Amino acid sequence: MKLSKEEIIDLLKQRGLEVNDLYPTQISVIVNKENLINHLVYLKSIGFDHLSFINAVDFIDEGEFELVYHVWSYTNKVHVLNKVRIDRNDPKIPTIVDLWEQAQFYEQEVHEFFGIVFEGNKDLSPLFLENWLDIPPLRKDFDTREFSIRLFDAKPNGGDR
Amino acid sequence: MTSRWDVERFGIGPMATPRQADVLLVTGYVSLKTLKRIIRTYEQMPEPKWVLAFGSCTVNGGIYWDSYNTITNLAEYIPVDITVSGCMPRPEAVMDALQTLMKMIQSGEAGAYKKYKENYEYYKANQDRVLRKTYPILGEKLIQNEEAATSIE
Repeated sequence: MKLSKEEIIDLLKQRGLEVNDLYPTQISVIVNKENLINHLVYLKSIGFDHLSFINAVDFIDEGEFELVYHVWSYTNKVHVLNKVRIDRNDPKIPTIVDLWEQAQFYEQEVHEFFGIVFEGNKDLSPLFLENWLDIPPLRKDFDTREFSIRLFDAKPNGGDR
Repeated sequence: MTSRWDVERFGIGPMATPRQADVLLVTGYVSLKTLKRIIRTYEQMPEPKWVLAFGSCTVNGGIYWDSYNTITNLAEYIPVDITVSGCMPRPEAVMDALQTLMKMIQSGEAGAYKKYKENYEYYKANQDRVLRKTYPILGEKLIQNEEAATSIE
C-alpha cells in the first residue's frame, strides 16, 4: 500500500515523534536512543525497505554526536532522516545489523572515523585507515592540519620546495 | 595516453606489470595506503628504472596538503626523476616530460634509482616514520614523538 508523505508524517506524529518536513520527498524525524530500534522496525514495516546510509555529525560544543539513519522507501518514494543524539563522552548505540545487513559497513565506517561504538556489532575493524593510533580523524577536536604538518612536514601554500 | 594522443609514436607504451616497465608514473595524490603499494611496486621494477611524479599533489600535497592521510612530498619516500606540475597536467605535458626524461637518460642526468640504493637508510626511515607509527602523532604522547622525530633526522 502506497502512503503519501503527509500520511507518513501523521503516522509518525501519532507515535509522539517530532517530524520536520524538509523537501517534497524528504522528511526528518528526531528519535531518542532508547526508541531507535523500535522506530526503525516500525518504518521497515510500513514499506521503508532500504537503509541508504548512516552518518555521524560531531556537535562538539553541545557535547553530543548526532547519528543520521537515512531510510528510503521504494513504494512510498519518501526519504526519511532519522536523527539520534548521543552523549559524546560515552558514544554507544545499539547496532542495527540484524535489521539491515548493509549497516555492517556503515557502522564500521562511522566507528572508524568517529569512534562511536555500535553495541552488538561483532566486527568493528577498520576499513580505510592502516595503523591509526590517534583519535578518530573526523572528530572536530582532531586537528588534521597540525597532524599533517607534524607527520608529513607539510608546508602551507606549498612551501618553497 | 589513448589513441587520440598516440604516445606510441614516441616509443612510449603501457606495460602489463611493473616487472616489465621502465618508468613508474605516480598520478595524483598519494595516501598512506597507496604509498605502501607504490613502494612495493617500485621495488619490484628491474633496473634501470625511473619515476615520473604527476600533478601538484605529488610535489607538495596540492589541495590535499593538510589532509591527515595524504603525504605531501613523494620524493621523500621514493626517488623522483622528473615532476610534472599542474592540477591536472595536460596530456601534452606528460608526453613532454617523458621526452625530456629520454634526453636526461641519454645525457646521464636521470639516475635516481642509484640514489635510492646509496641513500636507502634515508628513504627507509622516512617510509617507516609514516607507515609504522608506534605512537599517536597528536595527543598525550607528543613529547616522545618529537624526540623520536629528531633522532630519525
